[in-house]
Amino acid sequence: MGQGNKKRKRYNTTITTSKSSVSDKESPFWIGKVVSFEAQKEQTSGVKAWGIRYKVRLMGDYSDKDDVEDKDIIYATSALGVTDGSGAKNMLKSSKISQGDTVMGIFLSADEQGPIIQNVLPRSAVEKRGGGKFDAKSGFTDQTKAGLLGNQEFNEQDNVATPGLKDCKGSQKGGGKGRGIPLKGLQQMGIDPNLPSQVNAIKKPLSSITDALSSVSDVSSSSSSQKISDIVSSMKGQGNSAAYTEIESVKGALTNRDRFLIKDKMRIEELATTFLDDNTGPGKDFETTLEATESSQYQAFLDQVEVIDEELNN
Amino acid sequence: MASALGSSKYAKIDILKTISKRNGRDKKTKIHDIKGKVTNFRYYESLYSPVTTALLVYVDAGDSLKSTIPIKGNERLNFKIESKYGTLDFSKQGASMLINSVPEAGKESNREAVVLPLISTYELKDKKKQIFKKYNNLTVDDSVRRICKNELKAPKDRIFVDSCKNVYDFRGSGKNPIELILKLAKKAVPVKGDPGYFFYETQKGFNFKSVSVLVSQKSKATYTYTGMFRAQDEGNDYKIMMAPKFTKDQDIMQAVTSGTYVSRNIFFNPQNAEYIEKIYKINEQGKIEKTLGKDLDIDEELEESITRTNMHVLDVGSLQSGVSDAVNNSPLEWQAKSTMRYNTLHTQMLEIQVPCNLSLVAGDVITVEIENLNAEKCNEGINKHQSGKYLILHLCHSFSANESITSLTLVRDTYGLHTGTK
Repeated sequence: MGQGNKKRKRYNTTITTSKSSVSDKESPFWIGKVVSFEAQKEQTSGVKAWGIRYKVRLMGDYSDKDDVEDKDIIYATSALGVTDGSGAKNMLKSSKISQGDTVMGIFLSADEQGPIIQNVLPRSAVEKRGGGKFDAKSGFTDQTKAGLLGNQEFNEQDNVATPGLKDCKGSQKGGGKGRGIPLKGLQQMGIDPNLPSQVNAIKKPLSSITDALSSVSDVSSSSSSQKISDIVSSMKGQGNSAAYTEIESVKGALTNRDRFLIKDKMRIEELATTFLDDNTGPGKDFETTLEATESSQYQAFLDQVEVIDEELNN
Repeated sequence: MASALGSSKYAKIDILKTISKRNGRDKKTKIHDIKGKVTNFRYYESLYSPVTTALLVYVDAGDSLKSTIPIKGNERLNFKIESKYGTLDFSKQGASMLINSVPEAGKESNREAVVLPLISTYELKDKKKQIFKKYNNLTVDDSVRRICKNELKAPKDRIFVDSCKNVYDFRGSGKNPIELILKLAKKAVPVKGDPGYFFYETQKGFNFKSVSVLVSQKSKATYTYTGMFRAQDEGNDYKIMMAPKFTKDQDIMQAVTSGTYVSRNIFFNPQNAEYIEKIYKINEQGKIEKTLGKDLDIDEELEESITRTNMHVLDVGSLQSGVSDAVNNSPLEWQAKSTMRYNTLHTQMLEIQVPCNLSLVAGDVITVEIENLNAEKCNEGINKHQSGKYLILHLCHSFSANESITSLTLVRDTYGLHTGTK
């Protein structure tokens, strides 16, 4: 019989179904409560601190009935997530652990040394607070006060209530209906919302003096093909005489009827502009602006201009 | 007493049955003398065992004591046994044993044999106590003394602790006192010598002793083995009764695997992210200072390659009330060397039986002289390789109607009749 047969190593073939849990005596995992920040203020205030550490009363290792004060509890170092940053390249996020938080972690060294906090358990809205060493307590300290969320200290699927937006009259906005498309407004901007989307539908803005000059020459060269109504619109605010001269230079001599229509169009457009200026612009919210552009008075101005344009272009 | 091997005297073997009424008040203790019924008694000590244990067998020919007392476990048992070399006295305050269980060895119509496994009373005290508090800014020996005195309630004259030079902060973590002390043993560094302690109980009390101090002791007795042992002979008291049995004499693979000769030790400081890697070789950084035999003589080949890696994350001020950047009991001082010290101590293991000697306790050093196979009747008759000083690892005093024997398991680190130069 060979030497190797004398002592054949036995391997354990027993299949165990039990899984290691935090409650196992030999488990490297632990769960505990962060003690009051007052008992660890040198560290939590950052005055003398190193690392991100919290004193954690480990369940099992300490007792609700022991005489160990919070200041004598062990420090656990906080580990962070991979997107939080270690501080290298100036990338960092701060820890958001508070006193009274329930945290979980692992021991890095033998004999329950080197505790590391890996996770924090979110608080429930129905957590029971008390004066016991392991009881839940508020995360607020003398230095931190409740903000917009008030005393809602929980994080669960039915989340905390947040403050809503209100208008100046104090009423809540929104009724669950979508807004209508401001068709007229868009048409006025030269956009037809009924057309399918297309490339180069909106011209590029002018980017330089050269572009501006070439644009002027383009206008003069192509203005002969322009409609009279468009030329009138482009002369808005420059006076009737200037408009007549500009149009005659492109289209030739104007009749009295044309001059009347041009004068009338410029007057109505002036009224429409004044109306819009009064009801939109700085200090007016989007709702008010929308209401003005969709109002019957403004629509009447646009309708009149539309009729005049047809007359002019014919 | 003519011979140490002869029967010893049971001066006292009493079962103390305590009956209490009304939530522990009105306690009454009744004493039952059973020494006339005892047929066999064995008492055990070990460097591995923090408490003493014993086994008592009695035979009942009349009324069943087990039923009449009744014995249900947790009864105290006081005993005092006298032999030619010393007295085993567990009848004084602070020293007694408890009946752990009451199995029957055999039963006939008119008699029954009962086995009583006994445990030290401190074992129950230990199990009933959980420690949560922090031991801060104390040397390890101070912490051990406090735990023995305050938690195990051992009398001061039954606590024997060797001084340590290292301070170690630790917390109870809900552990029992003995469990805590056992964890401290490997982290303790004596004032002089190599790290590594044993915590064990003997008939004299609790001992927290450094391996270095134990192996430096003077020999308490010399036992010889000549191959000639006749019970009726005079002067047999210091003779080994049967051929010594070497249960272990080196185990190179086990030693290599456990890092006895060379180990790589990694230390990480979480405060400043410092990474320290140190190689300890038993003949260099890990040099053993004191040995039982000659100086350590390890083949250079065994130190060539790293065979074991130990990893340790340093504890930086985790148990300070405020903020501290001091490393708590740096394992650089003890981790690798204590492993080497413990492992080398168990290089040779020897089992012998000698006539009863109650003055011997676990942790004593004795000299064993073993004759050569082809011994001549002169000094050269002693095997100088195997003979020499040994440390008592386990001990059993066994008493029966006819004889009293002490069985010993001995260990030592190096060979040779004489101790090395260090």
